[in-house]
Amino acid sequence: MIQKINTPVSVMMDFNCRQNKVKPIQIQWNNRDFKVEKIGMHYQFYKGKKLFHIFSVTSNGMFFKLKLNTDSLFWNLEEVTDELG
Amino acid sequence: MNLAKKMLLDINSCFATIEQQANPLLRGKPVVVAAYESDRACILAASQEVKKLGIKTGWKINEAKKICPNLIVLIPDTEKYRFINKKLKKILKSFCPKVQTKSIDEFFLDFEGTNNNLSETALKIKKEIKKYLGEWITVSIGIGPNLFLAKIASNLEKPDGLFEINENNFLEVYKKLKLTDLHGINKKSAYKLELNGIRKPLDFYRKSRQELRSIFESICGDYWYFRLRGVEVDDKERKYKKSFSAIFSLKNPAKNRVDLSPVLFQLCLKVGKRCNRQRMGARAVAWWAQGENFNLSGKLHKKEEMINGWEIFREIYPKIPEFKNKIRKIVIIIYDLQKKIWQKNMLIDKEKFRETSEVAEKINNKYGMGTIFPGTVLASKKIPDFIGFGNIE
Repeated sequence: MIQKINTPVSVMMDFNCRQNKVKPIQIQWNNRDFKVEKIGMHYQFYKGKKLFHIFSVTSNGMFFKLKLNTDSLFWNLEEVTDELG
Repeated sequence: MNLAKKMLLDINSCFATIEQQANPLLRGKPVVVAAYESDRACILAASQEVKKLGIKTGWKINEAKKICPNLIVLIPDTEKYRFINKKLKKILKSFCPKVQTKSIDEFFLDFEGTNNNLSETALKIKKEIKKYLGEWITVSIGIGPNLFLAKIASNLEKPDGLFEINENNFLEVYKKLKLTDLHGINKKSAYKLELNGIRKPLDFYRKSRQELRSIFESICGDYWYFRLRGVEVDDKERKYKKSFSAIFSLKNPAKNRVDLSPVLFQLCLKVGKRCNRQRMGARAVAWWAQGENFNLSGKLHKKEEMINGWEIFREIYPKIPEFKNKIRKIVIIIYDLQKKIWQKNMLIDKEKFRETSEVAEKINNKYGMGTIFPGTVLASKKIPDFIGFGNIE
């Protein structure tokens, strides 16, 4: 089921200066830790002068759409998908 | 026939594939992207899994669900699609200096004057797409001596195809195709051609220039004569467009003018913005609204051009009559475009409005559409961003 969530979320991020790569590695949501297994897509867009980064990730058979507000550096969980029929 | 130096690239099942790329749980599942989530909504893109069941773009969700009850319906995520479009254009520009965006999922590459082997280049492009856009996104690439034949070639092998039409195989291709497979020939045109003894593209090709001119009764006959022989007649980047239009289908039908106002305002801003890009203003605007068992339409011609979407909205909104039936679809067309000349207006009110609306437009461009809007639309809810399949330049 695909659920629109829109709630703040704790995210652990990794920056690799050698590979020039930034990626979320762990999410804490609903008192559970989810280790990021795969990043399906990463894209960014401007809303006014604020830049947002979206990371679409999977963990433990679930999908999470994470939004990073680069103005406040706060993370938001936008969408969660669990098992699909 | 010219050398095959034109390439057309098309993202397979664009919106649906992008969604499957972003969310790996959707891969291999029947996914469609529709204008909105209701059963009456129209399918904008169907994944390969859905297409295999015979469901096509343009079907209603309830029709598709009869064939595929476990259909996953998503609504468009415009930012995602725009990002992929821009990123793909960047990749293509590294291969070819002349890249034209034909639509959100289609690009035209002109390799004229280069020595590139286009088949090899196409394979390299596919590799780069897999590397930088994602493993699930596939494209069909058509190569031909002109845009028309490149487009046909891109449709011959789907998904993830690569096909070249050149002087050696074009007759074979024409033999296999139907008239309606030719881009620009619909059922009505095909019927007209059949009446003139043209049943297959090969018959079409064999007609002389004079015969085609008399069938089409215009220069279009000459264009078809050259098009079918691989001569470029379609690659014209029109500097100035003659009109702009925008259309919106409402999820919840508008019951009155107030309900319709935010959609109308958004459409006016959209056409006004496109018009402003070529530094023009519109002197005429026409609208057409489709309701349940009734249509509403009208047009307006001004002596002075309307310089932005705000002015278009201000002019047409009072002209739309009150209605009792529900409106589901609305179309706006602006035409009679003139070079934008901002003359000082004798009417102080109008002058003030123009200055204010230009500033409001700048604020909306910077902080997002809908940051500032007219009081008329205040009573209604905000409408979503939408994306078109047509030319987006």
